[in-house]
Amino acid sequence: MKRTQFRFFSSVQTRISAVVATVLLLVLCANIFAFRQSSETVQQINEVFASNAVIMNLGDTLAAAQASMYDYLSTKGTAPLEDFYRYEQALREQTEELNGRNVGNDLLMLEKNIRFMTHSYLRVAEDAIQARRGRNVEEYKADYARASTLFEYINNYIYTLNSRRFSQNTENYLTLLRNMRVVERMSLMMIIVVCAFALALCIMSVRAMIGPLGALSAAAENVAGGDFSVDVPESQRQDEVGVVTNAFHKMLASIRAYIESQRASLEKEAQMKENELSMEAHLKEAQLKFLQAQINPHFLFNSLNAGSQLAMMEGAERTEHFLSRMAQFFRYNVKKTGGDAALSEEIESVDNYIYILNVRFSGDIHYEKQISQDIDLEQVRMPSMILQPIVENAIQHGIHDDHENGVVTLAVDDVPENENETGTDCVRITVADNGAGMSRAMIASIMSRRPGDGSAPQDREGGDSTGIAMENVIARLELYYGRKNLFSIWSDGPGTGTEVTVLLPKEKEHVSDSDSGR
Amino acid sequence: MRKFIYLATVILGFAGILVIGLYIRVQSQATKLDVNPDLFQSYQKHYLFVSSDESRMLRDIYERTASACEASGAWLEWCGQDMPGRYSAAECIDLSVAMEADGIIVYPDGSAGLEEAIQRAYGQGIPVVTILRDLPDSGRVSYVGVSNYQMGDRYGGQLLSLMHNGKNEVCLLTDAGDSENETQLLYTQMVQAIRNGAPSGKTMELRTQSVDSRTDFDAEEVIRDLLLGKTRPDILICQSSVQTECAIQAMIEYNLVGKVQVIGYYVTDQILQALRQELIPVTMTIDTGALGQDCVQALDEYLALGRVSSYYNISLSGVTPMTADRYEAKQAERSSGEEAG
Repeated sequence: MKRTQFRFFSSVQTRISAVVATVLLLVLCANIFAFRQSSETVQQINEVFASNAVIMNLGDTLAAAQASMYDYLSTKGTAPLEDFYRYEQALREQTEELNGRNVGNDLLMLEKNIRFMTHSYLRVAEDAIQARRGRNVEEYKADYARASTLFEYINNYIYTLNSRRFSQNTENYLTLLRNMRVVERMSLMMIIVVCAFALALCIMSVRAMIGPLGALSAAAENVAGGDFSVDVPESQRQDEVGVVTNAFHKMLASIRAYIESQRASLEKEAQMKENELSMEAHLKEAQLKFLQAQINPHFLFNSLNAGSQLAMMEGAERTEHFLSRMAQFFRYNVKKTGGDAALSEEIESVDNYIYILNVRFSGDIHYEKQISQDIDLEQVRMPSMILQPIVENAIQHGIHDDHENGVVTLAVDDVPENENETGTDCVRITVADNGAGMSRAMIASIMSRRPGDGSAPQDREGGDSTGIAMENVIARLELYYGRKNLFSIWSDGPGTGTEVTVLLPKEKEHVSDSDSGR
Repeated sequence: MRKFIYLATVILGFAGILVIGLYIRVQSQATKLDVNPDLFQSYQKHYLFVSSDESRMLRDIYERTASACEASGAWLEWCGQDMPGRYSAAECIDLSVAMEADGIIVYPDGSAGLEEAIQRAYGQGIPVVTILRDLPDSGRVSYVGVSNYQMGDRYGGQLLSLMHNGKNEVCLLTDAGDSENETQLLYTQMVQAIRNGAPSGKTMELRTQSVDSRTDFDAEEVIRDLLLGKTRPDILICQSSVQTECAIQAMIEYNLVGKVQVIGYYVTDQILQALRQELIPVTMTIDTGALGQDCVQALDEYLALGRVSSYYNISLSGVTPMTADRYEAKQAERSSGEEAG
């Protein structure tokens, strides 16, 4: 079983999979984009007040440092000192998160100011602590006063920064809320757009893939309804639809060719049947004619016998002889029709025929026989009713217009195998006349005729003829002996007489059943 | 089918552009919220502007100086602005030192300890430039302003044109922030100028009236009392835009136009309108742009070279009703030029 191989990318399965994958990927990307935007905005909203927390934390740490410095200066205790250094470290770390550069933004410059002021504060505070350690009262009091002033400045700046940050962050918060709504709408719009695009892509792709199937199904429906004239053009596509379309195209062409051949076959069969019926009709007509022909000779034969007996009873010998010969002639016709006969019987039939004609034409027919004594006429078998039609032709067409001078000669002799075209020993029967003769065209016409081709002259069947044509004689000879070239006509032309030769092979190769069955 | 494809393409295109536009808008707004220093212009230096006077003239000076700083790669900050408390000039200078500023421009307000504060700043290596009021013994590196001699001459000239025959009562408004020496110099120079130029028959009695600009609303009270008092001057000389506007307002309210001649100071919208209506005959003004340029130049020069000229003179000019329109056009042209630059 042949399995169709498709290109990977032209397969309908692959294309549908690709379309579905593309659609899913688009929707996934749209969702990821929407989720990412929402997530970022939410994160920004969450972090919007983080800077305030950092600033507040810085203020708290600064206050703690100031308090621990005051405690140390008051008590010179270790714990406040440790606290101060811890807060100092925390302050340094926290101020590291603040801007330290000169940039064109008020809030960032506020950060920078706080950062540097805090560093200044820590330096002054450290000076105060060192002075306290050194018991330099005036210096640490002065440093404490400076530190307190700076602490107040820094607190004011932190307050200002915090307020402005809060104001800005509140504005940012509102902006982010607006952004959030925009992001929601944008995401919704994007998802709708992507879904619409995906839907359009699906529709177009499916239409492109399935569309030809619609035309194919319509064509198939027409074909199912018996309309084979529908045209399905060949597809250039390499996928299953293309293969099915092309296969349908080829199948349709095959069906058309088959129907055409069937139609031709039926027409031929009908023709043959018509011919057969025609043959049967002709056969039946021939059989009818044959039966009629049988009936008449029997009736005539019996009548002639009755006439012959009547003539004998009345003593009319010549009449009795005539009727007797007539009766023999017709009896032979009736008896031998469809079978073979001895050469002697054929010659006797010819004799009777000549006798009858001579009675009719008052002995005008000159008939001669030259029969070789070496031939046993009783042993030579041949198809019946061969010689009489030949002799009849010689009389009817050869000497018909000149009975007085016309002579019909019947000669029988042996012909060795090397002197004839059959390649075997034959008995040669020659019927010659000195009458009208024949042209070469006439001879060729007679020799080329075959029974049933309709080319036989019609007058043969009327008048005084026995109704058996030369083509019939030739055909029966060939069928009886299974050979050709057994019959020949020779004439030098009109007025030179005609000679018809029949060769009877002594070794009969084949005996036609059809002949013997007639 | 083809129409459907075209329509779908157009709709999808528009929708795509809309989504991209919205995305860009959201991103740009989100970016605006960022306080990353890298997103802003960096400056090499950080100068502080110190002034407790927030009058229109000082605001103009600050803006012009800020423009000059911008061109010089410095960020100018008005110290103490938008703070919960008010700081004196001395406190602001201490703040500036704590902030480790690169330079200070100060308009002296006469506050206690200002000279010491300037001295401390100088000791920390931070140059201080005074404007309009000089503190020569404070350790400031330079002074940018009008010479008191020049000012006395110009005021004297204006007085001569305004004096009527006979005795003229002239009152010079001073500020608590003005140093006594400077006031004395100005006074002396004015008297000298009048003596030199006064025709016979015109005499002048000059006195001063102090107005404390550090106290809110004090100027208006003092000027009203002065103009409605028994010793109402014939000519009133103002030395600040606030004083001038208060005097104009009092003249209008108490119908003193023509009875008191006011020599104004600086040009504001109200003063310009008064000039056009000839409520006042003249107002003296300075070129704030040149002042700002000189301040920045002085600081830059000191930071670069370690020395600088101790005095940058700023010219004083008068605007009369005749020249008011020309002055306004010139200012507008300069403003547009700076914006374009």
